[in-house]
Amino acid sequence: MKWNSEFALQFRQKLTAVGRAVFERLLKEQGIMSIDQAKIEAEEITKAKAQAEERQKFAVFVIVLLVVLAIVSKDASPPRPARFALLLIPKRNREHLIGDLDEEYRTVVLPEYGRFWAGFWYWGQTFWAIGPYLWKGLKRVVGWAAVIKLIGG
Amino acid sequence: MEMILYMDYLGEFEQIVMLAILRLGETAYGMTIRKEIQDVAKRVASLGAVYTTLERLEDKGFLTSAVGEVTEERGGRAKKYFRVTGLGQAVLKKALNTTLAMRAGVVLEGVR
Repeated sequence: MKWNSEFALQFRQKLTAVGRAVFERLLKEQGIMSIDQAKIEAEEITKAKAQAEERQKFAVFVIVLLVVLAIVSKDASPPRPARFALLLIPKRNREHLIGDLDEEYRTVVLPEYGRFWAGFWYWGQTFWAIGPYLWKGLKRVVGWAAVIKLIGG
Repeated sequence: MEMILYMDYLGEFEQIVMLAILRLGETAYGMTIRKEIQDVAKRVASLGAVYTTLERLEDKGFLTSAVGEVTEERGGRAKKYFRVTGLGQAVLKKALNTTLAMRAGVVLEGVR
């Protein structure tokens, strides 16, 4: 059994020193947590909750910062991390596609919307450009799997 | 009646891409093709969709391509210009005539 810390504190304040010692001895004999222990435990729980909240806020701050850094480039060039995603495009037309994206980014989107929204646009176009190639690749893979299944592999 | 072979069949988006290239003439490359489709057909298409279609049409022999100039805005990357071949024009003409043939005699409200 545990004491409600606030109630325990109020109750304790009403006891004299002797009364307090007797009361706590009785609690110990009964296997009930003492008022002091309850107070300490309540304080520790509150402190742990506050620390967990601080850690959560810090983690959210770091994630938001990383996302903003990924989206916004330091200069007028497109966001560099997006280039890694564009490597998924087959070599045949990769450079021409990236060139088209960069041209539209620099000549149309960046002057009109600024670096943050232009970066956002670039990431959106990157994933949208990759989609059809991934789908094409998937159909090729699934197609072979279906053929192998058909011939009893 | 002339039958269209399966390999000659053009999908709707393929027709739109080929028509965009014909409209643009000498200036048909990825970005301008996509912009032409957006401006004229009022259809939003990703560069990935445009390029996969261009590749498919080129493999079928309906388009040819040529590498163009490099510019600073493109980060030093060359443009790739596309042109419709004679075969491509013939297949496109067939596809459009098919649509017109099916359209004949059909009355749609609000469509002349």
